[in-house]
Amino acid sequence: MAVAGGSTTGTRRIPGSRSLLTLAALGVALAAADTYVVVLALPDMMTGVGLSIDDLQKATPVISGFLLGYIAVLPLIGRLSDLVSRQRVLLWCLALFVVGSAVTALAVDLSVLVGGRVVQGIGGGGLVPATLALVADLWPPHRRGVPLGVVGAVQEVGSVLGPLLGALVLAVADWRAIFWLNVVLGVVLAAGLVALGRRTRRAGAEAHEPGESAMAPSRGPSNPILAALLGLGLGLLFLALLAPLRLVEDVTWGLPFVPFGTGGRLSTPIGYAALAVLALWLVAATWSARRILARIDLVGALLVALALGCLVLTFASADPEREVVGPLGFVLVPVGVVAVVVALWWHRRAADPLVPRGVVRGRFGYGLVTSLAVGAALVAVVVDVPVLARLTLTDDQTDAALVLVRFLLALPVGALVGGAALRRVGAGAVAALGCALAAGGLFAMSTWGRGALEEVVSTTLVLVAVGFGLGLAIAPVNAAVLDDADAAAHGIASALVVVARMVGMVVGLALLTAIGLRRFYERVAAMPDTLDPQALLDAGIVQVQSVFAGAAICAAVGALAALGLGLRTDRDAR
Amino acid sequence: MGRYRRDMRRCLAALAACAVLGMSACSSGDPAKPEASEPTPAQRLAAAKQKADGASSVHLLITSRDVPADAEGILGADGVGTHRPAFKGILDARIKGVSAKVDTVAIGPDLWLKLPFTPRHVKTNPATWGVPSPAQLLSSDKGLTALITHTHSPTDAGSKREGQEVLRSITGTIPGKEVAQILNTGDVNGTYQVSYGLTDPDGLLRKATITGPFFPGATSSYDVVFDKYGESVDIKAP
Repeated sequence: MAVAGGSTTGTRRIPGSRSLLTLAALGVALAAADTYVVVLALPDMMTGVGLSIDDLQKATPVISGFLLGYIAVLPLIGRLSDLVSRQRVLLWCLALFVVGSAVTALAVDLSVLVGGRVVQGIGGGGLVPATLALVADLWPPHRRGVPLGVVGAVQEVGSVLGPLLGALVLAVADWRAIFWLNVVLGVVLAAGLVALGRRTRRAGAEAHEPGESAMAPSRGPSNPILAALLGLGLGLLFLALLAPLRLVEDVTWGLPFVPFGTGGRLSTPIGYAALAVLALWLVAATWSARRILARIDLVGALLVALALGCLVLTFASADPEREVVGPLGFVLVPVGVVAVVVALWWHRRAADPLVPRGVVRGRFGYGLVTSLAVGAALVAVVVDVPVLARLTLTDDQTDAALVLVRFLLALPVGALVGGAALRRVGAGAVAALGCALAAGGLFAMSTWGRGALEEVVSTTLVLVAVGFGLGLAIAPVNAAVLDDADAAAHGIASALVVVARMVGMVVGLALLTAIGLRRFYERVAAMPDTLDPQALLDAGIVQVQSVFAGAAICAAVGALAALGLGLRTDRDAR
Repeated sequence: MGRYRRDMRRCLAALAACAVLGMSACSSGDPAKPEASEPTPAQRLAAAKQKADGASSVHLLITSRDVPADAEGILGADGVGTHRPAFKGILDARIKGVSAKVDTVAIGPDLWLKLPFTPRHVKTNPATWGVPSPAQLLSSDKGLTALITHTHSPTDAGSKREGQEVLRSITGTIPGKEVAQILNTGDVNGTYQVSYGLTDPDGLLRKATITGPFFPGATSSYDVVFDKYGESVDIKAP
């Protein structure tokens, strides 16, 4: 198996790399769009898996599960893409993304839906570091800042375009079509990658030593047993999820579809068989790739994933009618804390830790905290503005999306202005100003009541201010972090900023939703007539207001942390 | 949430329609002619109806398939009914693309609902919602089993698997005119396909599937599973 070692530091131009980067960036945008593509479709998706609208808490993993997968693999695949050819990693990530999308599209049970989203997230998240590594192939260390920023921006723009993409699809089809569209686009991108690989392999054979190039897919002896296992497992999985009525109702052929107890479609003989075959494949594939995997900090990645998973499930499993942290949480929280402690310990002693030692230094900590806070504030707006719009303004998802557009469009504008301002003003000043602006806007939003969204001008101003402010904070954090990191660690440093923002989103979504719903139920419990729709509506608005208030606090914390990034430009400082 | 009361009324209207499926008499079954040989499908159905009507309680699981995204009404239910008459369970209502599970207790003329997001059941008069009580779901002449009374030309359709069990399948049709009249919706000129699953050899009614133009522009199905016959249940006012 050809291993393109040390290519991160190489500066040679590899034919076709630019086209590959374009395809990879498109993949990154598609995957990023998927983060919030479900925001508007969430009520429909809840219906699709038999959840009641008041089970909102249980449905948050539909969003946070994706984020979880995305985060858990970001650093891991960053390392992997240094060891295996970029194209191969990109293809595998796209394949995972496509499979996850298909599983999500077919889901009729919440667990399958969330599982599909996690797989989607793993595939989508993996595209980011592999793409960042491509940048490292293409540009010498001192010129990587801008292209790395571009990939970051593509990821950012993709994620804000997600709700719009979702609204667009929902206008003509149902929520499952969103994920089938992902399958189609993912397959098209993968086909492009393969075609490009063929062409560049020919070119590469002439120009370069074959097998050394990061472009050439490592042609390991493709194992027919592995391929057969994977094909069989996926086939069984889709058959189990599809559960065609003709088979299910057949006296004999229906036997594999007889559910164990009251479980869903995977809790059947055929579902278990599919999972068993896939598990077997995973073990076999891991074994055959053991030499490469041994060079990756799998333990570290699993610990991080475990900690984040505990966090997501802790809030999702609570019954907000009674508590913020559920009974399951009292088990999960200690497990999560232990995972964090062990992860820190592991980081100190691992030969080759997930996050290379020495990356987190200088202003990195401030950058991560700012990123975390921005992520939490961002997710609150993206998720709860449509909720407020549907509560007070419209029954239509597309109209609700249009309210959010005012915020979404201001975000990239803010990001561009923030990037430009860095030439004159210090990173800390730009980011702090942006966060403070967002915090002010969010405090204003936390007072929005029933008729608020009908006042188009004033609410647009506030939404634009919040979007612009959060956008302002994005570029300075990246710039400061890249500035302080070694050139060789630029890829992992950028990835960590994305990870921090995503973790902020997961924590923000889980925590703020839990607190908001808790306040909602307290309000409802105090109502004299629980069938009074107006009073219920007001209680619903209290929930949204609480989330906005929490987001405002997050943004304020972000502003304080951003001050640590330095108020003067680096030129001034020198 | 603003239009809850009106929406709720519409849901309950649809539910009531479910409950009173079948008022007119178009009995095609002729149970009064027992034969020494195999009973006819009609006789099997009539016997199954009798057993369901005679059971002290029956658990009902109602689900729907191929329902258009903009469909509104009661799309499912999960609960237990008795001939007191009473019903206790969860109604699956969909309003404006949003699903809501409504905790419901109905005893005789009384109805208690626990709407989503609210902490407790509230007693309400079914009459104010303009519908009869879901307690009627197991009524022998106005409830779900009255479907059998309306079925035209029941035909043996072989065996079908339903989870662990293999059921004797009997298919037939119900005229759309009656369904529409009862449901206040659906295509009057359409015909509804109905398929029953009876346990073998007990001949209990286990499943009923009605398929037809319940909602404009789509052919949708309601599946009703009848199980836990005669379990002792105590439905109390909440």
